[in-house]
Amino acid sequence: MAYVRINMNVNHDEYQVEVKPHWNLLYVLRKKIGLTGVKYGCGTGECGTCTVILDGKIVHSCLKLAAQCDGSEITTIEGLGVGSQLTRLQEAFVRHGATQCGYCTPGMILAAHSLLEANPKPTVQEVRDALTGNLCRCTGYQKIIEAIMDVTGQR
Amino acid sequence: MVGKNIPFIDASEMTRGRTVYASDTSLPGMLEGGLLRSPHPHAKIINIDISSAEQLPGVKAIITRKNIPNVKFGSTIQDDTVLAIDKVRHFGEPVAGVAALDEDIVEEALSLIRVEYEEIPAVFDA
Amino acid sequence: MAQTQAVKLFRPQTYFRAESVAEATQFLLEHDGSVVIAGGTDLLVEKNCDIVSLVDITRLGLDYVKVEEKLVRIGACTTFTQIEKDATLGKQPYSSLVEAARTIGGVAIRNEATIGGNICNAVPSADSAPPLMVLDSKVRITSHERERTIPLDDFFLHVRKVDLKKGEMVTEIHIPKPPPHTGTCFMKLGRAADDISVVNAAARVTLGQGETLQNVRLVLGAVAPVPLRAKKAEAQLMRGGVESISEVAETAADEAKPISDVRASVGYRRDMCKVLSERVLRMALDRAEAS
Repeated sequence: MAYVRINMNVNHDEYQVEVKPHWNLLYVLRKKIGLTGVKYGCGTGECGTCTVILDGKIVHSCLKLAAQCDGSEITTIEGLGVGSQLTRLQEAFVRHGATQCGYCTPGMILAAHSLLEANPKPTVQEVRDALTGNLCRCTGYQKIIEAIMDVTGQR
Repeated sequence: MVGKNIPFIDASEMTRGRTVYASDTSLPGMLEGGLLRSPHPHAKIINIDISSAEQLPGVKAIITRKNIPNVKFGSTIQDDTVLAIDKVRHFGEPVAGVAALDEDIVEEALSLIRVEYEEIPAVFDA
Repeated sequence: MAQTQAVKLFRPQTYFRAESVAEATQFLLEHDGSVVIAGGTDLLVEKNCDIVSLVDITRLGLDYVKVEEKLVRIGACTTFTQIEKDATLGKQPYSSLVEAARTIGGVAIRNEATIGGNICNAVPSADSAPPLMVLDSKVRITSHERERTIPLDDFFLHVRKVDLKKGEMVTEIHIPKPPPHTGTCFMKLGRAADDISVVNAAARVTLGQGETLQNVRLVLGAVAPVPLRAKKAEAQLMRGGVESISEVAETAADEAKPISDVRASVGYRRDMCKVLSERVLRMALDRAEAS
């Protein structure tokens, strides 16, 4: 079995990792780089807890072969905000009570962040559509949607 | 406090992905574990052969019915054993456990454990 | 009866990043057990244990939508997000493909999942298949030695089986430009937003002189081993005209061969074939009339 050497920029830091062909990006981020904010939830691309931003678009890192990420730029939840300062989106989640167990939260925030970059004033339906790939078992989504709409200056 | 908006004490750390869940912990000398689960809803366990799995480099321990304490547990009725003993009573019942240096080795070790089952009838609806 | 459990693992031995289609097809030809990987959104779920090598085809520039005079060419590695955003595909008569693209998983899946992957995986519920088939789409298949282009209808052989030989890969999908006054529609029945289809359907109606029917197509998915052309229903519609749409929908439901599985029962699927067939036909007709 032949290892593959990949170079990635993760949260503005350069990494070089030797990966096995079958490893997915989620495994490499969590176990080789040590970024545990990205979560394992289902392993089949349905829950969204493994969401990262890869070359500008959100992807399920459990369904992305690590070997394919050579030369890629990746942002995980740890890469949002500066130091310990929260982004407006993160602040809104806190203020609206949009977190309970917090397991879906990193993925939700990245998905919302990605939506707002492309569409700064989405409708509620557009927010719902954008979060289709992120499941939450605790909140019932209402507070999450309110937090996102708050950030856009809409009610 | 009543009538005030009090954020959860750990909400901000959750939004930053800083919350440490059990699977996020990493301690010196920590191993990864996995369970081999029954593919049958009801079957006798004739034999469990762990010899190949044991020899895989990086495997630190394998447990089966031979290694578990003679206890039963359960929240209401104590009828569950740590691992299946003479038979498996549901799809997915744990039959063996592996501890190894990393997830890949755990997965490989589990795939090397040979379990001989004899399927027995089961009731699926009445 | 004693059985010994043997668990196989997903452990490809080699990852090869192709720099050209020729390199990719050469590798596929020379290496048994090699498969292509693009978005990987099905491959990394299925984790087929027989895969020995993975050939990465994402850097071959096969993601594009090119509109020519007589046809639209879609590169095999075009993602569903790219398809969703394409201006030409977003309008009739092509927009049923975008209607389908929007129902595939969520944003994160669509950012990586490719139309070529959807076709080549050939699950009966593949959402891009019915809209492509009702427009008589073709598949361009490339190997080291030659290229062949075949109707998509003939590409699907059985569940997860397509007409691809060793050393071949799909490089493009062609949608011939339909005649004027053509309307298409896609609908999907799922349990929730990003589900695998319980039943899906697409229809195409082309009107001729004096609002007569010139050409119709009806394809049902997830109700047969491959996406199903409801040919008897189509013929009945051509004979009976638009007043017969209800009966045509019943014929389509009879042509379908649904099964019971975790998502739905046979009976429910058959009922939904009739409902969806009628709806997509009526909508395609409306759109044809409006065009």
